[in-house]
Formats: sequence, structure tokens, C-alpha cells
Amino acid sequence: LALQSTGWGAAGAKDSSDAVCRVNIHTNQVGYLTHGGKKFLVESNIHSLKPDFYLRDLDVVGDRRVFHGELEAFEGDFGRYYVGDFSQFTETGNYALDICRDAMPSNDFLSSYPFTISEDYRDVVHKGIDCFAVQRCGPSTTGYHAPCHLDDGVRADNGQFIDLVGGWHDACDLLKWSNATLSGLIGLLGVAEKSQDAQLKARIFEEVKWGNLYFLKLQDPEGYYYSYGIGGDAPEEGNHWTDNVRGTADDRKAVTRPGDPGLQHMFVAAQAQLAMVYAGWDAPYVQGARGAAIRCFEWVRKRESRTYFDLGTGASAGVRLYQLTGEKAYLDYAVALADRFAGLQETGAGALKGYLYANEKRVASPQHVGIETLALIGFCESVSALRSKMNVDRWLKALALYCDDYLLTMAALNAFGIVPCQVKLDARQGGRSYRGTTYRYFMSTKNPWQEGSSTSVDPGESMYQGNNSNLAGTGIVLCYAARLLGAEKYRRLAQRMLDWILGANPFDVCMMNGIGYKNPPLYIAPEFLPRLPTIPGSVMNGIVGDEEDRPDLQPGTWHSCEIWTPHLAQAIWLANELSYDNRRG
Amino acid sequence: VGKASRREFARLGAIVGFGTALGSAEGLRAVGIAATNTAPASELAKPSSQDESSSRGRLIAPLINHVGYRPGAGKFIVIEDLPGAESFELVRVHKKGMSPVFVGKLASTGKDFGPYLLGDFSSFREPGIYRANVPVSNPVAGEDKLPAWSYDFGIGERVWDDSLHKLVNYYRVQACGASRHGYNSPCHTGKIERDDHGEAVPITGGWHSAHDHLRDLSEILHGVFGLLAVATARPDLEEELGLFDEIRWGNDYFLSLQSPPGYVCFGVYAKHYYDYERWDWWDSASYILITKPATLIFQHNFIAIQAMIAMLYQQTHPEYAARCREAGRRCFEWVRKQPGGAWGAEKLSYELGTGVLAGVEMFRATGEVQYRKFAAALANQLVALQQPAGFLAERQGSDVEIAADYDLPVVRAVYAPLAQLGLCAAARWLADDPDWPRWKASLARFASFLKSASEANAFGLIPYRVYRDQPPVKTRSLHGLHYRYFLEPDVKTTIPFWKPDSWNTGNDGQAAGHGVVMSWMAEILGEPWLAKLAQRQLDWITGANPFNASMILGVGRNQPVSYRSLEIFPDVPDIDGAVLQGPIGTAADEPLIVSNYWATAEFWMPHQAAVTWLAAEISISA
Repeated sequence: LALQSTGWGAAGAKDSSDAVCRVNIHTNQVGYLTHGGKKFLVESNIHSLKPDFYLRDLDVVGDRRVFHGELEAFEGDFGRYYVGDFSQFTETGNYALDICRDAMPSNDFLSSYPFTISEDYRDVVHKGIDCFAVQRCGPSTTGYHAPCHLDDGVRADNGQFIDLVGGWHDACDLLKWSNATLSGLIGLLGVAEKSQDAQLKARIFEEVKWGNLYFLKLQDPEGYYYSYGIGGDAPEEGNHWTDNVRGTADDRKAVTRPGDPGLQHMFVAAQAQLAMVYAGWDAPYVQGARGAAIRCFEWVRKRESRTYFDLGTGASAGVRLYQLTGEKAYLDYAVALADRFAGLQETGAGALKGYLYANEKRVASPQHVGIETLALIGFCESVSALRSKMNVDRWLKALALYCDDYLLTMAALNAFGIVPCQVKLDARQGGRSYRGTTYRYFMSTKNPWQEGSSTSVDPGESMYQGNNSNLAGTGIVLCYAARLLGAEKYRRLAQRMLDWILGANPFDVCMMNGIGYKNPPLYIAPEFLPRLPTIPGSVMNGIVGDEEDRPDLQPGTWHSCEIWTPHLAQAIWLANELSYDNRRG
Repeated sequence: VGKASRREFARLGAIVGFGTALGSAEGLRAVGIAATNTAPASELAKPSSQDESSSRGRLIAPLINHVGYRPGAGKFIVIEDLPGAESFELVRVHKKGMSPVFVGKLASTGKDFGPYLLGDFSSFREPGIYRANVPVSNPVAGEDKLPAWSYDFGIGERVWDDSLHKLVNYYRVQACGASRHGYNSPCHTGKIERDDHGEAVPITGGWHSAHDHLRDLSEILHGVFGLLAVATARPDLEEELGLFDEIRWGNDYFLSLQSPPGYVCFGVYAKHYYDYERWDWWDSASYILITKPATLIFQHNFIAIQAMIAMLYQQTHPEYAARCREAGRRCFEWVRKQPGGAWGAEKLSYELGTGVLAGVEMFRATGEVQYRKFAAALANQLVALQQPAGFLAERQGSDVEIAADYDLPVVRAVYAPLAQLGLCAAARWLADDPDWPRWKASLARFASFLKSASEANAFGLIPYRVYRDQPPVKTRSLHGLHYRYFLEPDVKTTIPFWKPDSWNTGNDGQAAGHGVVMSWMAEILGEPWLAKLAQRQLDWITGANPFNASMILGVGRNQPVSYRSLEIFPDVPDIDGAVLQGPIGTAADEPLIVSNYWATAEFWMPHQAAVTWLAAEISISA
């Protein structure tokens, strides 16, 4: 063939394909709660919109539009969106939202994906719990490549065998970081604690025992909890399948140094909470957990708690043990650390206040990227537990300041209502500024190492990942604040954190696998076969930020799309907190 | 598919006493946020997100076919022209490590839809599950490039089999009458009124056209082509998919519409498409048989279909084959006596092409020369319409103006590739005809057009229309040629018993139709690049489009919200394998997907048939 170009295609080209035509409705792709906040966003870079929106009931015949509202334009940190609110509508069912476009003929409309309005987030919570079962390590019948790692592990310091069989794989890898996976136990217990469903509590107990099989083994005879276990900075991290035979070359190394005080506190609080939640279920087991908590506490009480994370989790550890034993020493410990934690708060006359500093040097704020939010949650738990026993007004005041002057202020800067992961940034990190205070919604790509951080970053190393655990953890804090301060506005904001994770974000992606309509491609860990499957209920790291802190989805990278226990644990915990309050009306 | 919901929506807004609006400002105040960033509703006239650079980061998405490719197929990857994007690599998902099994270069491509890069991995043939990675500039200065990953996709001989199962499933679920698989079976089994006041009798069978239950030939006859393509290409799936039974389910309905003079009627239609309050669309009494002859194109298609069934099932179902052959013969006898075409004395290219196909298939089914002569004559008329740039004009002289017509907008938007397909049929099956060299040369010129046109954009799409005259709407243009990839936004159609109204549809059916033509041309001309280009048409439909969205429910990912009809209960479920209509065009001819908008996101048999046909071709191609 004699092919001759006619020179097509040179005309009419756009300057940038970034301007792909979009007319989208961003909702929580799972749905909303009957008595909860119900907001959604609309974007259109091609058509103008009519202000009306309609909620359409998908289950009934005839008049299916059951609510009418008006969109409002919102110009903020992530650009211009239209925001709709149908919180007033409280009927359960299956629904979609309809929006009119001026440019469409004859009043045609566009619609959201169908979603539910329900009494609770049962499906989210149950799928999340089931994810743990698929991530089980050891001689399980549910792990995706079980039985596995029956030969865990070998101490990195002396080469001696140490039985660390059990627990859960932490992420898209096969490691079992002692801090991150412990947050899974805490999240599960958080769900169980507020559950009235005996069947669900039993299911969680089964899962908790599997995880705790590993965590109890990570407690040194001296009482402390190991810093990393199978994970961390071992010379060979062990991200591989093994032959399940002890004493062979593929046995995985375990890091058995004492963890920081914050990690000890997490362990204490988790074991004490387990003993309380399941008191009367399995007395010998509960007694073992209680003993583990006390032994660890005895070790950590002799160490200095210095950081935001140490102090917040310490308050929780003390309170949990006090509740369990009634011994005043634990209460004193909790009160002291809670006071110091509240003392980290910025209360000055600056433009932005209410946030907390990373330590008593009061220079930088903590960066919420994984388990750091457990410090604030621990503080809230302490206030909640003690308010009937002592005057907690100073703490309530601190919490109100944090929520009103920090969280709500920052959430008002963007149409999605999400909050930063950090304020008072290092100059190198780049970011946004609000009346002189720097902030970022997403981790900077230039993160200096920070004491107490849940991520292992060498100085100068680039480490950034999505913001889901920050949002989920902050949502849990807001739920506590709503109950403690009697303010529904906090719970409404908490709902928006979950909305972002489940679809109400600029990319219209649901970051919990196996639920919602659009999940980005999962990160693949290169080191082993069989690969990790896409586990329903697992939660990915989330949307990251570019240098200017604009939302950036990086499909298939670990930054955005690796699953990780802290996100999962706090996401289902938040879903359960919201459900718990909703059921109570 | 005029879509009653348009009217219904407007009416509901006026009738229903909606509750008090809850504005966002109030909502914001409820959570203690000063609504300083909000604006009153009156400002919604402006599109949002206009200043992309200041508010939104990247969404990096290497675009591939979400299903995959056969080993010998054309395999392409498309990605936005991002900083640092120079090459791509393939990684095997179920193989340890991330060492690439293939590395290719990315190259600039036509910019009609914006700046994209194109990569070709057609030479990679190893079966497996893969994902593609395009390293792009890392937001972290000094760091290695950042990978941008695609969804997983397959390479395998039978990679399309599951999709074919689902595509055929759509027909089953949309079966009308007392079927075994229809989603609300039995349905529409009562007597159907006739517009000629003849005796009302049950007229069962066929398939519901879309989310509505229309069964006019214009909308559903094409469906048989899709099934016949599967049956022809994949005899190994005949029994598994029950293809004969499904073809017969549709065709018995079409046979029942054949009149004593031989023509097939327009078909069963709603008595008043927009008056859903008066009519229950599950009630046979809501429908009427329109007895006028269907448009000439559909008479031609009916003939071709009967001949194809007769050939395909001559051995296994000889009685039914004979019945179909006779039905084709009778319709042909009626058609040959008709002067001119449906839109004037001169037959349009679509009428010529479908006529060629009818003649060729009847010749193949019977061996009678009259059919061959008929086909050859029409093929020569078709060649006469070819323009210097290689495309076929609609007719001699200016294009037809559509003021108020039911069929022509659909024909242009979806069935237009049947014109070229007719020429392909002549070149394929009438090889000893003295005019065969003319047809082949014409196809070669058309191939040149396809190459040039497909290179104007990153996705290998072909314009929906090249205008002969000064176009009435905004078009793309170069060197005097004006073209659009997508239907003009102001097209009007006239459905029976109603006034002209706006109408639109996505480009899936046309892309698939072009794909079928390309597939046939590849074989006729011996040009493998055309088979690769055919694959790209299917790529567009199953993920390689600017939205990274598959337009087949249950196949691939990121499907838009499918249209839901509000006037039918029980309403139409999302059907596995249903083909949505696809991206429509903006006024500036940029692709746009609008969730739930019927023109984009409703499934519809014309698109279903074309995509099924192409998938069948691709499943054996290369």
C-alpha cells in the first residue's frame, strides 16, 4: 500500500491532556448513616451545572426523588467544587444523587453511583475484620498462603531461635512489624469494645487471639515489647516465604531491642483492653493478657516518656490498667502523662492554635502518617474513662481547642473537609500556609526523620505515603470529642474523613479493596511468589501529595496503593465509631 | 432510545413538593465552619476545576486494554505526555521480582485529544498476566523515576473468551417473551395492537433494545450480526453458549415481522414513548406493531442475516436454514423492486453497503447469480462515492440534512461502518468478479484514509464523520477537511408519535464497527497493521480511553454509573456483558463520559451488537 499522510491531527489539539473533560459526583461509595452527615461533591470542568440536586430512592416505584437540595460552590485548597448536603434525610435504603447540567438537553441529568443509607457500616467493618484472617501468618487455615513462616524466627542480635509464629502480615509484604501490626489489635479491640453483637465480638476475639499469639511472644522476659520483631532494620528483612523448617537458611531475622515508650504503652493498653473487653469469655487467656500488661508497664514506667506519641499512648495505658485493676498508681501515671500531653498544645495568640507539638521543645508538630493518631485517641480514651471519676475540664478544654481551632479551621479550607497530617513544617518540606502557619494535608516528599514516627526514615531518605490513617484516626478522635463535648459538629466532620477514604476524593477512588466502585491497582511487592492477592477489606495507603501538596494518586505504587494495617485498623474503627453513635441516635 | 426520563425529570421537579433545601452553608455552620469559601447557588453557572494547575495533582494512568490481548494481536499503551515519560516496561504479575520482560519506547502521537504518548508491545507474545509501568519524573528531586502502573491485563489465546460469554449473556437477559433467561420473564406475551387495525396477536421473541423494551428493527435487528459473528468465528463456543438457540430467539421475532409482500415491518414500538404514567411498559397493551416497511438498510440487513443463518446452520438445522433462506429470498424480491433509497432517489452509502452485503450473502447461500450481480452493481456505486482523501461520501453531492428522521441519526452514528463492510464483503467473497480489482483498490485507498485518520489521535480512533459541506457545528479541520469523532451535540431525531427531539449517543458502536471493517480489510489486503488497528478500537471500549474506563459491565474496570430507567418497575438490572454507549463529544469534539446519562451510560443493542461482533473477530484474529 502506498500510504500518504494527509497531515491530520495537527489542529485542534489541547495544550494539556490534564484537562480531560470531567463531570463527576464524588460520594462515599459505600454510603452514609441515617443520622450522620451526608455530603458529596460535584466537579465539572466542561459543563455548567444547575444548583438543584435530588436524592433518588432506588427501591420504590413511582415518585422516587425523595429529597431536594441545592449545591454550593466551594473554592478552596483543592480547587473549585460544588458541595451538596442531604444530612436531613434519614431514611434507610438504596439511593443515588441526580444533578442537572445546563448544557444537557431536555433536563437530562447525571447521577452518582448507587449508595446506601444505613444504620451502620456493617459491611465495611466485617470485610475489614475478614482481611486480618487472610493476612494471618503461621499455621492458620485462612491465610492466603497458609501454613507459612512456621520457622519464625532468629534473633538478629545473637542468632538464637525465638518462636515468633503467628500474627498477621502487615502490608503488601510478609513482614510483621511489631508496631504497625499491634495497631491492628488495637483497632479490632476498639470495634469489639463498642459492639453489642456477641457474634461479632466472638469473631473478633478469634482474630485477636491470632494476632496476640505473636504479640505476646514479642514480650521479653524483662517485660518490654520488642521494637520490630519480624521487620524493621534487620540485616535481612525477611520479606520472603520460607520452607517452614527451623534452622534452615531462610529463617527470618527478628529485631528484639526494646521499643520506644510509646510502643510499650500501646502494648500495655492493648493487653489491658483485651482483658477488659473479654473478661468472662476465657478467664485463663484474659489473665495472661493482664499479666503481660502489668509486666510491660513495670518496665516502661522506669523509662522517660518524651514525645507526643509516648505521652498520649501512656495516658491510655495507665487508664486501661487503672480500669482493669483499680490501682491508683496507674491512675497517677495516666494523669501525669495526660497533663503533659495537653501541655504540648499551642494555645498562644498566633493565627492558628489548638494543634500539638511533637515534644516539649515545641518546635515541630507530629506528622500523622500511620499509628501516630493513636496518641490523640489514647488521650481521648483517658478523658472519657476518667471524667466520671475526677475533674477533667482542663483536658476537655484542650480537646475542644484542638477540634475547634485546629481541625475545624483547617477542614474549612478545602471542599472535602479533610485535615492536615502536619502543621509547623520543616522548611524543606514545602507546603501551604494558613495565616503564617505552614501545613500539609499529605506527607511531604522530603521528610526529615522525626522521633516517634511510625515510619522508618533515614535522614535524607524520601519517604511518603497516603493520608488514610491520619484521616481515619482523626475521625475517631472527633467521634470521641462529639461524645465528650456533646457536639454533633465533630461527628459530622468525622464522617467526612471516612467519606474521603471511601470515595469522596478528587480521584473518585475507594481505598478499601472489594468495596465501592473504583479501586486503584494494588501495589505489587516484588520479592516473593505467590503474590499478595487483592484482599477484600484491605485499606491502601491513600492519596499522596505532590511538592505543592496537591492531591496526587499514584496507581500501583506503594506510596498510594500498598495496603497497611494502620489504615485498615483505624478505618474500620472509625466506621464502627460512627455506626455506634448512629445506632444510639 | 429517546429516554422518557428526560421528560419525567422535568415534570417531577414541578409536581413533587420537595422538602426545604438544605444548603451547604447551613451544613458548614452545623459543623462550626464559617462558610467563607462558599458561594451562593447563582454562581454555579461557571464550570469548576478550571484552573487545574493550582489545585489538583496528577492522576497518572497508563492506559491499556483492561482485558488483554491475544499473543499475535496489536498491543499498545497510551499515557499522558508527562515529564520524564520516555519508555515503558511490562512486568509479569505472577513471576517473582519486578524485572521487566519487555521494554519499549514511548513516542509522540496525534494530538487531537491532547498530548499523549504511545507505546507498542505487539512483538511481545508470551502468555501471562502483566501490568505495565511507565517511569515518570519523581516528585522528589534527585530520586529515581516514579513508576506509574496500569491495571493487570492478560495475554493469551483465549483471553477474550470470558468477555464473549458475558457479551452473549446480555442477549439472554434481555430476551423478550417467555424466555428462560429474561430478567422479568415471561414478559410481553399478550396481544399486540397493529397500526393497520389488523387483528391483534401476540408477537413474542426478540430482545429488549436497551433499558426500555422497544423492539423495532432499527434498534435490535443488528443484534443478530453480533451473535452470528460469534457463531462463525468461534464454533467451539456454539454449544457452550447455546448460540443457535439465542440467534433463533431473536430471529423468530424478525421472521414474524415479515409481511406477505416480503418486506419486514418497522417492528413493535411503544404507543407513546414518553407517557410512562399512562402506560405500563411491562404490559403488552402499551405497545403497537408499526407495520410500515422498515428502512431499506434494515431490509438489507434482514436479507443478509437470513442468508448467514442459512449457511451457518445448513448442516445442523436444515429445516430452519431453509426457512431463513426463503425469507431472505422473499425480502430480496421486494427490495429489488424499490426505487431509490429511503432518503431520496439516490441510495446513500449505508444503503449501498448493506445492499452489497445482502447480495453477497444471498449469493453465498444460494449460488444464484442474480444476487451476485446485485451486489456487484451496488459495490461499484459505492466505489464511486469514494473521495480523494479515501473516505466514502454519504452520496453524490452534499450530505443529507437531518431535520426530522428516526433512522438516519442512528445509521450515521452507529451503523455507518456497514458501508465499508459491504465493500469488504464484495472483495472477500466475489474474488473472481471482473470488478474485484476496483473494489480492492478502493479498500486500499480507504486503508490510507484509516491510517492517516487514526494517527491524528493517540487512541487510533476514526472520525465518525467527515463533512462534505460547511459543517453546522464546531469541527476539527485541516486541509479543507472537516471532521468530528463524536456525534454533533445538536442532532435531533423523531421517534414514532412524537415531535423532533434532541438525541445523542456514544461512539462505542462506531468504533467497534470500524474495528470489524479493519479486521476484514487486514485479511483482504494482507495488511497486518489493520488488524492491530482493529484491536485498538476494542482497546478504546475496554479501558484505553482518557477515562481509563471499560464500557462493558462486568468486563474491565471503572465503568461509569450505568443509566437507570425511572419509569419501569421492576427496572432493568445491570447486566453482565452489557455494552454502554460510550463517550460522547463536547461541542469542541472532546470525549466526555457522563455517569447515568443515557447517551453515554445506557446499554443499547446497536452498540452491543457491534462490540460483540468485534470481540468475536478479535478472539480469532492474528
